[in-house]
Amino acid sequence: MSFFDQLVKIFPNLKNVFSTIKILSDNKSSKTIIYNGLVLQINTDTITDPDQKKALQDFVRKSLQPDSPLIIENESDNLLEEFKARDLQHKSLLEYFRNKIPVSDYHILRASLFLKSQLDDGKPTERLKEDIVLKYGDRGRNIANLCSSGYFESFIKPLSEKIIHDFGENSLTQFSEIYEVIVTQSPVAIFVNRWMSEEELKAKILKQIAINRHYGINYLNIHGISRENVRKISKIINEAEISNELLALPEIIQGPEFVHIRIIFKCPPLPEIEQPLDLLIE
Amino acid sequence: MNKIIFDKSARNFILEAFDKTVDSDGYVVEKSILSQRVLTKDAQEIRFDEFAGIRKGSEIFLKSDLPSIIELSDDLSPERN
Repeated sequence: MSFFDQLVKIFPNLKNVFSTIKILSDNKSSKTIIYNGLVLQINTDTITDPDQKKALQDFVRKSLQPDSPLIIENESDNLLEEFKARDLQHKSLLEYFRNKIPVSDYHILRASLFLKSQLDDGKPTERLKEDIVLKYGDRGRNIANLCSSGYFESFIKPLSEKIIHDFGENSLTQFSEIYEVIVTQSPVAIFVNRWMSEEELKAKILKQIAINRHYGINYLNIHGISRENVRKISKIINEAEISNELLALPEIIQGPEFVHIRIIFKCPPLPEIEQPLDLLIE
Repeated sequence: MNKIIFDKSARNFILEAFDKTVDSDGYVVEKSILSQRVLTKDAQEIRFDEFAGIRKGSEIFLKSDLPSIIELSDDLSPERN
C-alpha cells in the first residue's frame, strides 16, 4: 500500500499532490492539513481524536522502509542537504588529503570545509564550530581555525606538493612531521606569505615571540613555502635582533621550496623586555 | 518516494510514535524502561533538544550536530566516503 493510500485512511479527502510530508505541532493554527507547494503539512496539535493520532503515529513508525529510510527534523534535513552539496564542491581538496593526513583529521577537515563555506556565505557558524570542538577537542578547533583561514588550500597543500617535489613520492613522513606541528601548534606559529616584506616579517616574529613569552611559551614555529619565502625567513632569523633572543640554533626542516623553522628563545621574560599584552595584540 | 520531515515542535509526537519519551534530565529514553537512555549508532545518549530523527536499520536514532549529520550523509550515500 502506498504512502498516500495509508494516509487517506487516516485523513479522508486528502489530495495526492505532495512529495514531502511535514509533521508539526502548531497551536496557533486550527487546520490539520495544509498544502504548501509539494509539502503536505500535518498539524498534530489539532488532532483531537486519539485513534486518529495513534493511526498517524503508526503510519510514521511504519514509514521507515528501504525506499524511505529516514524521518528527519526539518533543520537537520536542511543541514544534511547543504552539507551534501558543499561536500561535492570540496571533493578535489578532500581527495588530495585523504591519504596524507590521519583519518580522524580527514573527517575534521570535511566538517571544517563546510564550516568555512558557511562562514564565507556570511551564515552563523558558532554552533558548527562548537560541534567540531565537542567531538574532536583542541585538534578539531585548530584544524577548523586553519581551514577557516584558508591555510589548507593556501599553505598546507602547496607545502605537501613542495615536499613531494623535493623529496619524492615517498616523503609522507616528512610531510606528516611538519603537518603535525602545524595542526597542534598553529596558535603560536607564523605562516609567511609572499606579500610579507622582510621588515614586516621581522616585526611579526618579534611580536609573536613577545606574545608567546607572555604565556610562558619559549618557542615559535615559522612556516614558509616558495624559494623567496625560504630565503626571506632564513635571512631574518639570522639578523641580530632575532638571533640574540635565541637560546639555541634554530631547528630547521628545509627543501629548496619550503622551510619549517622552530626557534627557542629566552623565557621567562626579563622585566625590561616584557610588554603588556594589549600592546602586542592588534 | 515520499519524504517525511518534522518540525522541532513535533519532536514529542515523533518520539511517542516510537515508544520513546524524555527523562527528567532531558534525555530521550525508552517509554517502557525509563532508565534506558536511547543511544546513537556510536553509543551516544541523545538530549531531547538535539534529537534529529530516526533512520531505518532497526531504529537508528540521530543527533543534530554536524559530525552526526556528516556520518548520516555517508550512511545514506551509495558511494561511501
